[in-house]
Amino acid sequence: MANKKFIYFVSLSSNATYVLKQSIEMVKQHNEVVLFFDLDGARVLDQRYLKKLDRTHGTDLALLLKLALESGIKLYGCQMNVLIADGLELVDGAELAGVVTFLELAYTADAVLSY
Amino acid sequence: MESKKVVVLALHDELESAYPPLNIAVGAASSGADVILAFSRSGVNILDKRYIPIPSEGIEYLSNAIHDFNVPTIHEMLEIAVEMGVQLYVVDLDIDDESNFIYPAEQVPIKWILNEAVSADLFVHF
Repeated sequence: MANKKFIYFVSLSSNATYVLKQSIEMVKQHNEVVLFFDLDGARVLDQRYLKKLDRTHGTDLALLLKLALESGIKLYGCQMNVLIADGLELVDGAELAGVVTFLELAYTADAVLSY
Repeated sequence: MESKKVVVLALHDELESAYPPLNIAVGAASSGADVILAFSRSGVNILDKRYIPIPSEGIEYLSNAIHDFNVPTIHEMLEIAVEMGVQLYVVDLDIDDESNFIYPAEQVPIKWILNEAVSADLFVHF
């Protein structure tokens, strides 16, 4: 059984690596983690962005996303995200969701963190 | 059913930081929640009539993307929030003249917000 439920709201793609690593650690400690990506943060859920990343500081973001999904972390991109108009190609396993989904999950969370 | 209580605190004024608190506040209000939207630190600039949202360095593309996507502006979002009954507050500021605020906002100490947060169904800050 999960100890705590954490929701992360990520609006900057530059914070994604930290959040993903932190989330994977929290799941290892039997916590439940849900990640919401909005605005620039949602870029990390776009396969096109992952393919053209040139500076990753030694981090394989695509691998981190895969590990996160495999460990049971839910990944949501905002369904009204501006990238959708640009042809967002969502990574496998991630889903689009709106503010209602965020609120439903956040109401039952032990902590909601923004990055 | 008893309505939810949501407290949202906006601490920053960059474009990518200004939309989330407003999105959450409007979304929660539209689902029937009682919403407190408070502004502190540089977040209070969002309330200024002269506020121009600027994205953080390196993500300047976001301004055009939001414009092209026809998303409501920050101040349009504020208008929607006010129309939906979201209560606006500014925290721990010493403001003698609020005439530059696009909407009136009551000044309260941060302790007040934190006390409200304790009894809220959701407290989130951006």
